[in-house]
Amino acid sequence: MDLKSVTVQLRNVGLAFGDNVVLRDIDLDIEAGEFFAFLGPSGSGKSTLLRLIAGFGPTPEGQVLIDGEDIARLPPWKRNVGMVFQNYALWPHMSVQRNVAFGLEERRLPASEVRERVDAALDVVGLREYADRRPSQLSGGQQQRVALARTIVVEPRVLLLDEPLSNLDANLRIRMRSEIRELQRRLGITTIFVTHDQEEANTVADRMAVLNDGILQ
Amino acid sequence: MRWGPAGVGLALAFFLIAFLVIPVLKVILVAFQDPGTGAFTLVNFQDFFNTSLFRESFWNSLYVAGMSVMLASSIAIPLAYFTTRFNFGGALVIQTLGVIPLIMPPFVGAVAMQLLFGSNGSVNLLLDEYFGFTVPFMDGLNGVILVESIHYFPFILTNLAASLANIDRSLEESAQNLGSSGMRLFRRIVFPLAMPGYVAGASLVFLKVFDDLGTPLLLNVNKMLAPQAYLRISSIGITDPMGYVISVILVLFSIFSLWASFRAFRGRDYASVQKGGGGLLKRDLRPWEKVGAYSVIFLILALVLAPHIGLLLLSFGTVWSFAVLPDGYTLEHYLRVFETSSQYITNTLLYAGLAASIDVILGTAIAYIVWRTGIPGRKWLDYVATAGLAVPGVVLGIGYLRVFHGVEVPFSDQPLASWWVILVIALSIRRLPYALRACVAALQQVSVTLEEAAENLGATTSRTVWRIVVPLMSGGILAGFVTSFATAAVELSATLMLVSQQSDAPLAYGIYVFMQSAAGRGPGAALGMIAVVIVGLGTYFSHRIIERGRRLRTSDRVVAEVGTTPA
Repeated sequence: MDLKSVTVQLRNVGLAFGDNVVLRDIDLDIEAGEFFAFLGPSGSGKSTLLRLIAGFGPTPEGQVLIDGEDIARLPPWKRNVGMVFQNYALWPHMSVQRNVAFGLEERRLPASEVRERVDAALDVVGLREYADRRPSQLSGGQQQRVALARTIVVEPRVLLLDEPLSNLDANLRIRMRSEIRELQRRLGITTIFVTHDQEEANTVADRMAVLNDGILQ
Repeated sequence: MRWGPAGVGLALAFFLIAFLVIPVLKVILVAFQDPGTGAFTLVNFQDFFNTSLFRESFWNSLYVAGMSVMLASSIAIPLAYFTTRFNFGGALVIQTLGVIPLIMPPFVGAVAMQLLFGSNGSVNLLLDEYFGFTVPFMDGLNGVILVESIHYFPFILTNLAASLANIDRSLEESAQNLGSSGMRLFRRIVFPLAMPGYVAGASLVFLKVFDDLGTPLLLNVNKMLAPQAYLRISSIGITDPMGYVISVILVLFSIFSLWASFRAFRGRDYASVQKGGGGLLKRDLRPWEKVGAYSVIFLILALVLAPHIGLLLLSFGTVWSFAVLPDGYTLEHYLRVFETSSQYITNTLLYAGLAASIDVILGTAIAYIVWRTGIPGRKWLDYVATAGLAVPGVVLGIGYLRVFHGVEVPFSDQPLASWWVILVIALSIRRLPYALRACVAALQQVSVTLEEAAENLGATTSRTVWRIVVPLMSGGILAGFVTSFATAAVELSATLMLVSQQSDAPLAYGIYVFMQSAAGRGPGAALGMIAVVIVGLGTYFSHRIIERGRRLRTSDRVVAEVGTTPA
């Protein structure tokens, strides 16, 4: 998999739900290929900021630049930023194979290429033999890896991880932490990782931004 | 603003306005119009209340609806009490009792009840022979009350049982701790807490009985509001203002009943989240209590099964009058039905199938737009669609006849009001509120993140709905379809108003026509049994689908509920 690393920049980003301002004056520069963390307590706005980059929620103020292009007003399906959700969001009525193939099918790729790339992605996360299983038949850690595979297979410009480890037990967390880090290094993809755990952020991230009450600290 | 969903929303709004809002508004308008000049006037209402026939009909409708609630309550309350208060082996029996009445529409069983409980019916013949007296079970209004109560008591039973089952046990325990017990406890603590459920069920029963057209007609009780509206319109025509006045009264009372039903729960939802489940303390029955409980249940079971048994006997009986049982048995009625009247069955399957399809498509679309998009004014789609509950079939029928009078089907010269498609639309509008609730419930089971994940991977809203949302809703949608189908198949009120020729008529109409004559009762009963089978199968499959969905979904819910930590 050959992914070009891109920069991510936030300029004067603000977000409000009606009258409730949740993010204020966010200015951020993330370098190409960097593993960047958003750290903060519950309610600080870190997940909201991540979702904003993915295109979920109300339209924000300011600019969101990916590789220099402002995507702040594009709908989610046009942004090509890959997001791994906190609850993995694997579709229960589809097998692992079809979950991972989804994004490629939406891009109307020929079936043979889809098959090839799905196999490659499952190989990367080590779950090739589970291709025909349903999500409900997988453990938490396996589901998380399927969610990862599903995202990287479409070769997004940026990878967004929303507290991917918070639902795993302590041992698995530590193991998955380094696996994700290693994967990111190998692929070279610019990654933003949301967590409330300071130790975790310190261990995996190159740099981090701390958020509290919607403001960058 | 996403234009796709907005377009769909507009189309939905147009459908609802054209086929629900405008007909009802028109009916209300005409009631307040002078028939000659068209000016606003209250003279129609004055005429209505000045006529003793109509005053009597109004009072009768109120009386029958009220008494039906009373009788239905006296059946439902003991049963609800038994299931929730005692460790009861017969709990399953009670659940079944709650379903059996609903698979036979009241008008279908009405004639059978007449034969069993009428002044010359089986029960009275036996009573007279052995005890020398008779009971006027079915005389005049009593017949309507009896038939309606037996059919509708499950509405009160399920709502009340659910309410009782939701009561936080600690509320009862603290009362006991303070010295209260038994009937006093029930009266002061338990019943008030269960009131919302009771009121919800009772007002629904009131509404349905007040609006019912078929049962009074078939029992030859014409001095009630709905039959009067039907008779005026069908004999005098759509210009007669009385039908419209009656419609306004029916709609007003329906709205009132619905309002009471919704209000019952406002601010008083005593449901609790309790470890180990809510509900009252259950205790075992003492032996004499067991005897009492089982005899009450047996009595109710006999009453509940009476229409079914009666209908079965009637469908197979040769001649049955002034006798406890039919003189002989035959298959002739069924043969006759299948040979000469099969169009009733095929029409029903077609109409109900179409209406149910329309319902689930509209229901899914409205559910998605209301709950998943930000389109302004979208809540009104839900409100208007649900408002259909307050529109009796008679009123909708009159509205369509009036509004579509003189309108022709596009590309032909057939009047729109007598085209069978209009009947399908009426059926779908009347069933839409239930289908909508099923679709909303199904949609709420689908976590939003599942849609977001699809959008994140490049799927637009419509692709996401098609590939992710609808498949995951499929259980609920299917259940909604089956329920819509089963109830549309036996709808009579709007049908009577809108059917113009026999060849277009569905089952309910066929039953009605056959039951008018003594000779037709046999085939009518045969058709009735077929209707019961259709509804029964529908109800059964609907339960199976919902149960299967519930089992499969526990795994989904784990996926969806994992980690909702706010950040």
